[in-house]
Amino acid sequence: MDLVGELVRLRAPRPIDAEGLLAVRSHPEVARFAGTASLLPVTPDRPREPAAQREPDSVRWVVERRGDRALIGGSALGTVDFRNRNAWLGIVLGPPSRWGRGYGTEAMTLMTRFAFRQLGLEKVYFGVLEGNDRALRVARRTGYEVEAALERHQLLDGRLVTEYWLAAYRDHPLYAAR
Amino acid sequence: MRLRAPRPEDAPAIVANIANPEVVRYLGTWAWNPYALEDFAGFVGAPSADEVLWAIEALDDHACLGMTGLDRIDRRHRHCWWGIHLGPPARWGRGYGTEACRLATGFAFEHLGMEKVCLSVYEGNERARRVYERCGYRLEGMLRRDTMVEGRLVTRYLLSAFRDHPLYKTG
Repeated sequence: MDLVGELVRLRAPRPIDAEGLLAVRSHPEVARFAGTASLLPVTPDRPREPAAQREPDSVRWVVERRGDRALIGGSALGTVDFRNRNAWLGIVLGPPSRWGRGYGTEAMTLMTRFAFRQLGLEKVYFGVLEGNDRALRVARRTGYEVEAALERHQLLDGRLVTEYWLAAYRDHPLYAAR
Repeated sequence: MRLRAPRPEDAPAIVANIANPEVVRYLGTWAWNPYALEDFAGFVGAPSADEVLWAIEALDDHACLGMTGLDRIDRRHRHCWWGIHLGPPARWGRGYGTEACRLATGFAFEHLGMEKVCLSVYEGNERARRVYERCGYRLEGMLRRDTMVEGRLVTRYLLSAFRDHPLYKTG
């Protein structure tokens, strides 16, 4: 099923989405905090975008804006661990002109709720690099709290910066089943 | 003790460790599955590029007491993870864990150029946590309800040691 909110719809990725997802991730401002893979140039012979991949331990979506159905990013619950009942949430939205309109907040809320209600997980992790205050704000707004501050953990612009691990739990009021 | 390359003849000692519920109790998920001699052969036979594995050998009787290793060695971000299993329990409390931890951590800084080494320790394993703190590790995170231990989701503590810690600083 799709995850449908008021602003965005999360739907299954299709091979045809690869180009749009690449365009989102290639923007330097977007790539900056999107992890190592996004910083490397992607050549036409390696168009292996997440859109085409299916891994047994992850659930992937394309994030679409409702109304014009524009592709505004990709998201996933990765390393889903049913034994320990947790997963990692990832999301990339762009270009930056589309930031600050609540798309990320809604997408994260929908995915986190899915993790609890459809996957039965206990907690969802979300990693944020030092300096990415926007992501930190969105995460806090959607019920995530910092559980770990790993100093000098990731290279960012030539400096080893702190990586924060946040988590949301199934019994958080935002997600508790009525 | 000495850290050396694992050998096929270590298999019985390693398999006995993983078979012992006391030894694996706080090791995390992988160690709770049944583990055979063949599993060990496959494990040491195919080392991956991002890990370094040692067997722990007691210097007095040359017994193999377990394994320790650095894994998820990330050369770009200059950190890796350290882990250990040690047994039988009769040989606990004699400093083997402390020494193995210091040697492997020092190796990560001196020979792999790491900036930090991370490890996980689970709620209830206070003995290990004290050992790691004596080896220069300090708490960086408390992940609640992270790992299933005996039917309950317990806290996983993240500890890290940095290359500029006085214990490891060289020159």
